[in-house]
Amino acid sequence: MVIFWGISVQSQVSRSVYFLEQVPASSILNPSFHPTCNFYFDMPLLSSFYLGYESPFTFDELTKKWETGDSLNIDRETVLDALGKRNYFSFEHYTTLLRAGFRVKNHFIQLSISKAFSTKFSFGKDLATLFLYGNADERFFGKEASFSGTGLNMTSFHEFALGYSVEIANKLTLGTHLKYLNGNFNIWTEKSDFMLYTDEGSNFPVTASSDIAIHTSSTISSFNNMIRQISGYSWFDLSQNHGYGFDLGLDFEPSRQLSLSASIVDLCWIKWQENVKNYISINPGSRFTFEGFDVNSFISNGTFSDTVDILDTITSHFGLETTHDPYISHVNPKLYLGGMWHFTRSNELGLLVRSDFTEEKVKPSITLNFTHNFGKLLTVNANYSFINRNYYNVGLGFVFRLGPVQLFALNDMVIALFEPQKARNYNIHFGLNFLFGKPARNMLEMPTYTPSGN
Amino acid sequence: MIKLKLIILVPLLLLILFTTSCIDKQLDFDSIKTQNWSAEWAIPLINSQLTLDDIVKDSSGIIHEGEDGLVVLVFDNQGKITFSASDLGFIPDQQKLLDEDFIVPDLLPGEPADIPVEFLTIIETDEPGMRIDSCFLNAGEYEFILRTDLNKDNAVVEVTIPNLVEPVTGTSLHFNVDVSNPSGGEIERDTLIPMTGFTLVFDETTGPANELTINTIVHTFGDENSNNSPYHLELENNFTAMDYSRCFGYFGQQVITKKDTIYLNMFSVNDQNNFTFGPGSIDLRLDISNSFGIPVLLDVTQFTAYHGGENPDSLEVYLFGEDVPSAFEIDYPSYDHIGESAITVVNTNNSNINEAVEISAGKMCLTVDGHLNPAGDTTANNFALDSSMVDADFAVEVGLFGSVSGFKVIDTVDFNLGSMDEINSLLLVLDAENGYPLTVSMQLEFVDSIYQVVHTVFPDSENIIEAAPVGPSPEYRVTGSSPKLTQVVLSRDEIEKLKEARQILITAMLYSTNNDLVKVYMDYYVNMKVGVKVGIDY
Repeated sequence: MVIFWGISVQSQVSRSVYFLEQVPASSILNPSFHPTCNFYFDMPLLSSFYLGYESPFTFDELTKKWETGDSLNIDRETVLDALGKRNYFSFEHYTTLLRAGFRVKNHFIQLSISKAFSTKFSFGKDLATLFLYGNADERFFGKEASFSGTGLNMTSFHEFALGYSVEIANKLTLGTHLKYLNGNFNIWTEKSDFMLYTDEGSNFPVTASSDIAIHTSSTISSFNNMIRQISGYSWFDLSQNHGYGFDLGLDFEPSRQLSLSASIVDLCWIKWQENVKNYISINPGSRFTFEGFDVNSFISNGTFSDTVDILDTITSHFGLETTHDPYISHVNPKLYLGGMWHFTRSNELGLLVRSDFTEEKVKPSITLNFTHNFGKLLTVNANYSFINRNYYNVGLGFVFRLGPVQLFALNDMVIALFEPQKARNYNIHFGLNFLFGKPARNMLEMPTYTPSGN
Repeated sequence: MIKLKLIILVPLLLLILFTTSCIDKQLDFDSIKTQNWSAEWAIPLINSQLTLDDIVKDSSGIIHEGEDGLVVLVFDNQGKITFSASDLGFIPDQQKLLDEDFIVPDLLPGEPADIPVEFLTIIETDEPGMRIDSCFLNAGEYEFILRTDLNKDNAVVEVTIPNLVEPVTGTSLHFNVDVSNPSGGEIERDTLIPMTGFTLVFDETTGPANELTINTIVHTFGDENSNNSPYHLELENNFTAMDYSRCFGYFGQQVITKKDTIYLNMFSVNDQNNFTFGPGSIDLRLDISNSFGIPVLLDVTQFTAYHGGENPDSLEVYLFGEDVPSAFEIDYPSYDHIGESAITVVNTNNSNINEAVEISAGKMCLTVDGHLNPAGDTTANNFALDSSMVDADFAVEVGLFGSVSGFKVIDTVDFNLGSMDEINSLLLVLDAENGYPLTVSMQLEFVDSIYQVVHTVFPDSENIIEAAPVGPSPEYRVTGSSPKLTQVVLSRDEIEKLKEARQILITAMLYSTNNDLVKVYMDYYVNMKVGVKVGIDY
């Protein structure tokens, strides 16, 4: 039995919540975070609801105005300029079905059940160039072109997390999550490497090779009505696809004004073994040269033949063999490094560097955050991020608290709400929590700040 | 504190305003208009090794390999002149009315009397002079109608026909007809006898040929009725649909005329006559089989080669030399070889068939008279079976050995480019490596509905296949192959013009280098590769 090991899924919520420790969902990004209460529980199904979408280009990048008139055109050079070497469209949904936590002296324990869905279609810039310019373009004609990284990854799983954090000497908080994952369904494109060479000579023979490995664990039978089949999954079906993982985090407060934090989350894996199908190239990397059809097999007795031998040969050469070997996928780990400067009692500046460890590369993003507390009733934060080669990521959020009720709504790309054509990324994150009790010591009490000179 | 908030909030709002102020387009997918992206794709279309069999698509089995590997075109199975048993005459439908009187002696009541009455008639045949000795019948009906005015209480006519032998008993046809008629007046009795299985036997030594004897005996007894002798006895004999499985005798001097045509499609497409065949490369093969036991003389009264189409060229073909009649006797099986065929092979070495092929004959029309018993010996003993036939196979065998100065083929094919607006440029590449000792030049002219040329692919007819070099005689084998790369470029304007075209006028010319003699062998081939580089607008 072969065990494949791969990467296939994301699991994330908004970056803004990292700066709002009073929101229980902040512990998703750093397990050392917990709200300043003795006990909380979240509104079932609405405790933390996240939707996110990422595109390799914005509508503005895709389109240009005609020189005359108001209509737009899609300029292929503009499209290619907007693309990176590797590109993807992704859609993510993360919702916490149930979350609760409580304090025991300087220990804080949290429990949560969440459901994650992630889909991502990746493609390389070379493939888009080939489609837009053709194989007779100078970039490909007489040259060997490689296309890799094209594929679909999709997953859905349940996450059962037990969180624990401990405060040490009022300066350092350490936390962890221990997780059990239960996979619902999965499509993982392990490999999709293609090579294409178009000879400039003779009748332009084309040489190609492929190396494909796609793994699925689902009851999805075909791609024709995949959405309907996905929607047909029960909301809380548990399977034999078991996974485990953990998060680690720390929060260090060298002074009342400054806190530094770090976490690595989603060190998780799932072994997929239910309804598994592996689609593997029969001749991985083996080159095949197509020099044209043989008219003798194409035309038989003056009529076109129903079957052409070369097509069967090509189908056979580039065919996929189906096996049923279990495989392991893991969630993309993420590293967070954050700092908060509580420069007044009500105002905080924060900086967050997040690194996503994806299958292709490490993708860093930076977020600069400002948070203002309007008393205890309302907290507003605004931030600016550089994400996915896009500079237009201004986020806004608020946390409203009335008694034990805490309502929050966050967004890392608020511009997408007003000017969607400028945004590559869209997301929204909101939830409703109930917090009770105060810790024995007000850990967030800040000294009054008086700027010098005043 | 308020100032500090402003310091923080104002830049943030400015940042938001700045980023949004750069936007001058709305998220309006409907405003995206069709693009004119043009991608260029290079696609290999054809890569084939083509032998002669592949090129001409020999579905009718014309192409054969000679003993030395030379390609031999055999045009047979078309010019078949066939005489079958149904073409020969036999016994037509006929009616024979025979009438005799007879006298019944005066009889005491109960006293018997047997009165014989004999009838004789000649069975007619299709062919005068035909003599039937014996025939095994496999079809036919014999309707026997008897009429008489005999007025006896008890009377029977006993009929015996010695010329008709019954299949089961092997005895002469024999039956009784009840003619009891106490009330008097004429009566009629009808008897229908299927002839299948009967044998018809005539004995010329005892009478005329094909004479049928019907012996009758009237059996009666004396009664109270008056004797009205002489009585009348009439026999109506109707023979219909008579046919035989075997027949012996003499079939007369019948003349059977047959026509047929040999089609030489491969040559009919040639528009000119600019080729010459090498010595001994064309043969007219005439194989005849005959399973009739009859001497037959075949006289080819017409053998004309036509170019076909609108070309009026024609040539009379002779078999045995100019002004020598094209008539010959064929062998036939003897009595000892009934059911077998005798084969006759006709020597046509002095025929002018090569001249006929060199006019690019598209077809050859044949008329053949078959003369039975040409010597007129009426004592001859012929035989025929229902499966007997004369099968004369006229075949033309053409060995591909000769010189070609212009085997020109013109053809027209319908063409309609349709709405292929997406194609903005086209480069067609033909990469040929020719192992044949023949050069092919081609011209493609696209014409509109009033046959005006809208585009010519090759401004000057271009060789798309170059002849391979040829070795010395007598083999004349090629010593290598000749490569030729041809590119056809069509610009957007030219493609636009092609939209008006409705037909393509194809002119192809085949010729050997310097009009030298060449031979085409079965193992020759041409490697043909075709590719296209096409600009496509999305």
